[in-house]
Amino acid sequence: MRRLDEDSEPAGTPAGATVAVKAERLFNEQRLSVYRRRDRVFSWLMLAQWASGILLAIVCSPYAWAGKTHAIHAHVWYAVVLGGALSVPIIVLARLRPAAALTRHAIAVAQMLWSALLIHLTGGRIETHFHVFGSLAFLAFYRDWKVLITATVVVAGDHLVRGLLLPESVYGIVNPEWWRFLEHAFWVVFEDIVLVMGIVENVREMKTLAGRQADLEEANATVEERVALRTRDLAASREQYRTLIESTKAIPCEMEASSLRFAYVGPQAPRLLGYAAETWLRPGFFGDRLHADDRGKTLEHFGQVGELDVDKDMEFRMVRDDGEVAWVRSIVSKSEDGSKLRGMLFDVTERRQIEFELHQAQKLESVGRLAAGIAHEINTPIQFVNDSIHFVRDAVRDLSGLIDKMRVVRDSVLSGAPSASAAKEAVAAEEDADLPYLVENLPKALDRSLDGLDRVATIVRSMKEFAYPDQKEMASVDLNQAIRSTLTIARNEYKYVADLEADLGEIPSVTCLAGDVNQAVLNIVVNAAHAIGDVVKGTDRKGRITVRTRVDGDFVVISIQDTGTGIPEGIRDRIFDPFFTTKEVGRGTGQGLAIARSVVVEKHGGELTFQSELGKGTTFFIRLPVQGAEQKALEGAAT
Amino acid sequence: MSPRRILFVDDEQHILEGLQNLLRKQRKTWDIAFALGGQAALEEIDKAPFDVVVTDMRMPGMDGAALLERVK
Repeated sequence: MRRLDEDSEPAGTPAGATVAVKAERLFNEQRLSVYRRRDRVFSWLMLAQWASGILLAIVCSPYAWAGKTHAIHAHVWYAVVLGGALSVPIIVLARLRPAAALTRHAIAVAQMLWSALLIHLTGGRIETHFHVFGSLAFLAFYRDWKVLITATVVVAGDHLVRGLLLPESVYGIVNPEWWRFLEHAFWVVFEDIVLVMGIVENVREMKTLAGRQADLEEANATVEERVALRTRDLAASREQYRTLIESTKAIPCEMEASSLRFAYVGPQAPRLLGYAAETWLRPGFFGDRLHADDRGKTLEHFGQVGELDVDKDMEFRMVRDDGEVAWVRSIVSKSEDGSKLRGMLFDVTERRQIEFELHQAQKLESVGRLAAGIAHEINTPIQFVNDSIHFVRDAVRDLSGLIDKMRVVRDSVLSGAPSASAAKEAVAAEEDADLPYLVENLPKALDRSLDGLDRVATIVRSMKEFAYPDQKEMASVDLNQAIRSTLTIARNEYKYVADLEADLGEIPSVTCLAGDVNQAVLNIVVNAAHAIGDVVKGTDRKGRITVRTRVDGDFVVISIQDTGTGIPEGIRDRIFDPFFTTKEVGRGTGQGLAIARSVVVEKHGGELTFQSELGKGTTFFIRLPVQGAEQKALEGAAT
Repeated sequence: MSPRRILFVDDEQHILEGLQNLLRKQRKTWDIAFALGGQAALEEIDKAPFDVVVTDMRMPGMDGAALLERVK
């Protein structure tokens, strides 16, 4: 296909040559048209000359010629017969061969012979000679100088022959002077020269005109071709954009800023929710199809886009016609006059599902990573409980043996024959059992065992509480207890490098997804332990992790402070990015803080911020609305 | 023959106490001592040498490997 920006002509045919060929064609057409018109005029003239010749023969000849008798003169017959002989072939020729050179020259010959005939009929009247000049001028209208040559040759021949044989027929007198022929010839040649000059000039003008017309037509054709090309390209471009817009998964849309009613949705819209595009345009459709949990914050967001010109993307849930939930990402902005919102809606359900699964996987992965530590935490009490119970069992057995020996002594005393040997055995057994030690340590061993069992129970309960496997919806939760559980199962992660201080204040119950909040706290605590580990590695020192909870208005703030390395300035804006990590392979996957942020900000409508000083440590702040994300959003929308 | 001197090292007091209870019976053949952590173990060793040192590996501050390295 030729492109708009290629102005070149087809290869091998320069523009000038095309125009020249066209000009030549136009010139020839014009000339042929002139020839045809002249041929027609001359065929009528032939007829008129024939008629006037006959009339002339009837009226004039008798008076002009000697004899002077008024009768049908022989000239009348000349006029009828010769005139017919001159006129009829020309009329036929002009009909059959219009514009042919033969016709043209035949007409020149006939016209000159007509002059001769008329001169003869008027008896050589000098005035009739003007017919010759008139005819030459008339022939000049052919704009073909060759025709004048033919005519001149004929008229000269006629004058010469008749001048010699029948002078009266030419000059009106019997004995003209010998130079009369030359005088006539001079005037004929004079007129020829004038006419030929005129013809040459005229033909040149015709050629110029034809050239101009050719230029004009060529330019016209080029312009028309370009217009056609541009129109086609424009249509193709429009089609391309339409296809582009309507074939992507993103749904282009436009809505009234005030009512949030859709004014336009792309033809892909039905795929998102199952509803026909016309249904989308109904009043209230958008609000009605929003998921109940996301309606408040979504309407608030769209309201802000309209009012404050906020150009921010957002993700929210909508309900399909089959009741399934679709996740939608919107990128909208306000129109120039502020009356419309325009943008794109993306179906991100699949991505959300994958994220959810990734989140679950990360949860399992962190539990898996913690498992070794938790096993160690459980193993320690089991070991000392085991040791203590063994000790208690042996001690009970020794005591039982000692009591048996004592009974033998008692029985011997009661029977009246005390046995010194039995008493010695009993003393040996008492020494062997280390009775004072047992008396002192048995209660301690039992207390220690109870303590160990309590520790195991706590860890198991914390594991259960950490995951909150049953909780799908937001519920009112004792965050302090949740944090204690989290710190318990994470203990093995930090206890070798840091002392932990849990400063958990008086806080109200918080409506939240406790399992997710625990995950966020765990990820931050593990990071804190790693950061401190990098500082104290190779020394005998330990760092400190301080976890605090406080109330701040309608929010509860969990702060997690460490005395680790601090976060370098250059990476502070990237730490929440998924897959961003500074840890070696196997120690971190770059998901921890990304998930913490997703939990706190997206699921709970809270904030996750931090303060960090290189070499001093970092403090993360988790701010959660006490009433939960949805309640806060609804209140925000209402005000 | 004097009894073997054995030092048990752990960062968990309960573990040491449990061991002490359990090994009370060997008090005539073994001279057993306990140290809570690597630093305490080194102080014990400074007082009098031991024939055997049994230590937990994972301990805060100085771990088991570091302790044994120092003892050698």
